[in-house]
Amino acid sequence: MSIYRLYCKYKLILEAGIVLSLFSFPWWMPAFYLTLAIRVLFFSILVMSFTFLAGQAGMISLSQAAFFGVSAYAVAITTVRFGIHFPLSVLIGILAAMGLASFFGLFAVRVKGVYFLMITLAFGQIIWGLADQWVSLTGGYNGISGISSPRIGGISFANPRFFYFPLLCVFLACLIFLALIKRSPFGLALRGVRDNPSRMVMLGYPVFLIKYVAFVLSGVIAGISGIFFVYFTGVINPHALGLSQAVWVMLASILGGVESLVGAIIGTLILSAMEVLLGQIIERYMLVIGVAFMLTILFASKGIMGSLQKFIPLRNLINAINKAHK
Amino acid sequence: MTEKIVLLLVLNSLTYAAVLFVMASGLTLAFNLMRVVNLAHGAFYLVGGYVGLSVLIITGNWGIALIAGGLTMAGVSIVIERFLLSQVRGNFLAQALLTLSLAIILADVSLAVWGGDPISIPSPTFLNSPIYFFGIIYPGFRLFILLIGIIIGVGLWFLLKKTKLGMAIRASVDNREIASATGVNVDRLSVMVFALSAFLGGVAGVIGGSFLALAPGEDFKILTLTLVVVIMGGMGSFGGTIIGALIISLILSIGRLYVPQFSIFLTFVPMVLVLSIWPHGLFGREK
Amino acid sequence: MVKNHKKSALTLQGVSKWFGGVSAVRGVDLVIKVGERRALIGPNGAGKTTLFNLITGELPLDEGKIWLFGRDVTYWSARQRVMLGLGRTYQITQIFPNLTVEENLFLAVRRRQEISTGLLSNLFRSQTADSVFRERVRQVAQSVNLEDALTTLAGELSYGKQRQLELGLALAVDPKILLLDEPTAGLSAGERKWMTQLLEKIDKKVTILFIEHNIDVALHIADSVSVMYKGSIIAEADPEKIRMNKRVKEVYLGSPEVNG
Repeated sequence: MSIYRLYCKYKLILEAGIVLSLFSFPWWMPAFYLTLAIRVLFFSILVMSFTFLAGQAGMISLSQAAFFGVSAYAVAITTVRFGIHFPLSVLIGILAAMGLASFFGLFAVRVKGVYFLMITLAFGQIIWGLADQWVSLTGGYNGISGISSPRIGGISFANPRFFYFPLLCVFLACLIFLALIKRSPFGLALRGVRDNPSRMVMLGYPVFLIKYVAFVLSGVIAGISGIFFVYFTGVINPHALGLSQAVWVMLASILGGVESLVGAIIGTLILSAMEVLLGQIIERYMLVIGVAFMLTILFASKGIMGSLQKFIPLRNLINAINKAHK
Repeated sequence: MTEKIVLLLVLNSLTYAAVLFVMASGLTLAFNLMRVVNLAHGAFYLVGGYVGLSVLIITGNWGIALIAGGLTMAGVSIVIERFLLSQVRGNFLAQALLTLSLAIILADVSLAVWGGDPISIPSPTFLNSPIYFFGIIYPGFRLFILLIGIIIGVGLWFLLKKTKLGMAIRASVDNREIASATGVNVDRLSVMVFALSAFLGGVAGVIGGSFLALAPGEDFKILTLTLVVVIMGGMGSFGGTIIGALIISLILSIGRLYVPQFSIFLTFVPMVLVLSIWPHGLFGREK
Repeated sequence: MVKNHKKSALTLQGVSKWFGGVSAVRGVDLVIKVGERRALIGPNGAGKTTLFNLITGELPLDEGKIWLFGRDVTYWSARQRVMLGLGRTYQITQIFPNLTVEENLFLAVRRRQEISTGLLSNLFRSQTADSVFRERVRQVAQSVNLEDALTTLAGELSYGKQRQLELGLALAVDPKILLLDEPTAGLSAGERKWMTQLLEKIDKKVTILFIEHNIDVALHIADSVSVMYKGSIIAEADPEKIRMNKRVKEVYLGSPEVNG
């Protein structure tokens, strides 16, 4: 508790220090760790999009990986197949994620709880099926490779050191943007919808519109993450938007605490580090993810940030969503 | 010529509908009584199919393999129900997420045990002979699958409508409290129904594995199609399950024939059309 | 009766609702004048809450017409009716359990101003920044005796205080007509007294239609009483006459001595 109080007291200094040290990474960090940091940053953006939607609006979406993948595919296809490059390709990528989220949202947002989970799962998997089957456009199972990072004014962003800075800026922008929404009237309205949609209607709120805006917003954020992913790895295949990816995102979010954006980053960090470590020791990585997910649901549903601060434990949140939708 | 293609299409989609129906009715059964959306149902399909394959290799009997695949999954599901789902009973979202984690676990276990190469279950030899009718040649085995689907459908109907057990199930679906007050052991009933549901998943796996292939990823593919069927038909409705299975398999068959690159994507179209008018599916209602 | 709908706060004409084959509300006619306090009483299963849900638009009706302040709202959505000045409370408490009392009330007081001026323009303002809203939240909290509990999570309040918050949420939207579904249900005798006083303090310009099982509370607050039985309104009169009415006694007050 005293650590928490200490944290509160020096919060601003601490946060400024963290941000500054984040900016210093490329100068001193070994390449291997810099690569890991880059992965953590862009996957954090994806996990934050999930955390925002689940924690604030109570919508547990299995479509986030699809939005992530669709913008990545859009960039890959425009770059490799049509020779359209940055910045137009990025714009197309974001519009693709936004378009898909706007369309899915029309149907998904009308249902609640388990139905929402089911529909977002089915929608996400159908996009996976399209990526897997439409070989002439998407390259099928093998996907598309050879997407090179943009080169602007003689600086090649293929170099991780240069790739890192724009990514960090966008990452911070997304974090601040979502944090601002959380404390805005719109954020409060979202939590109201999460807790009790029928009362929100009787208070005069346009519940469908509120949920829809949040859904599309979170889809766009997931899409931004996909663009950095495809530029950095240079490859996109159906695995990137499959169900295991969707579950990975959910697990990272829950590990960090589904109410907390910072938790989303910590969850991503832990899971990515685990991935690197376990990848060297055992083959059955997905088994570990699955068991970790199961144990998290059963026992440690508070999440890591949840034990540091007064965040709602996941189990309570899920209960609340359930109750509100009964 | 066109009539033959149409006939082939219809037959293909009917046999596939049989598999989807067996899957979806299993999912529906568990949902109705326990409100569990079992996202591990696709994994039950895949593991059931693999178990059937292994049993077939040992015994050489397809019928035994079919039963073994189903019974194994029933056994697995009892363990899951007793030790895992019971921990979060009443919390529908946590239950669904728990089954999702099981789906991931079972998928990886089956990859470790049975490997990653696509593999098919050899169909029984006495049914392998092609059948000639209306000028087309059709594999006898696939007609047999259709028959199994119909038998299971009629069996389920009989079980639910005509037996004491079915009456207890329907009473508990309507009102758990009243049912248990009148002496129905709802907890035991839940285990039985979940086991039956998993049995159907395993059986579907052996059937599906015999005319399609078993491979990593098939579990989530069949789960997606099953979900599309129940989302369209309306979660919890058996009639909706049948209609959904017929529509989706027809779309899939047409897609496979003419636009194979879009066959899964095409199933999106009827689903979205239905959802735009009925948010909870054709026969579904908000609970 | 329908002629009056221009001047009345609420007019129902032949409102009916079926669930499956069962009729829950059948042919209800009701006129409530502006500023009237009307109690709706009747045994369990009479269709009172269903009638409320039809008036608010949370349930679509199968037959009939509804006017609110002279406007035909039969086909309006619940939200549109709320914007016209309709507020309600629920029999089963409908608050936001994971938000503080203050946040609960903020949601209620700022809905019109904030949401109608656009979602996005308010995206970056702190939810509790505006002093006007702060003041209004304090006022409402005071009017339902919750000013000491502003920072408490609503889910952690005692049941009685949750009922007060429930009323506060309905009052905070400045309703012109208020539907109260059993405001004193489940309260102890002391709490019930409290709640009755709160209800009496509500601005006399606000029209109130309320369901009440406690006949004393009902007759105490109400100017007039409607009795509902098996989906229909079977009697309508002032409180004293209702006490005497034979048919009402039979179906509601449970005196078995009258036959037919």
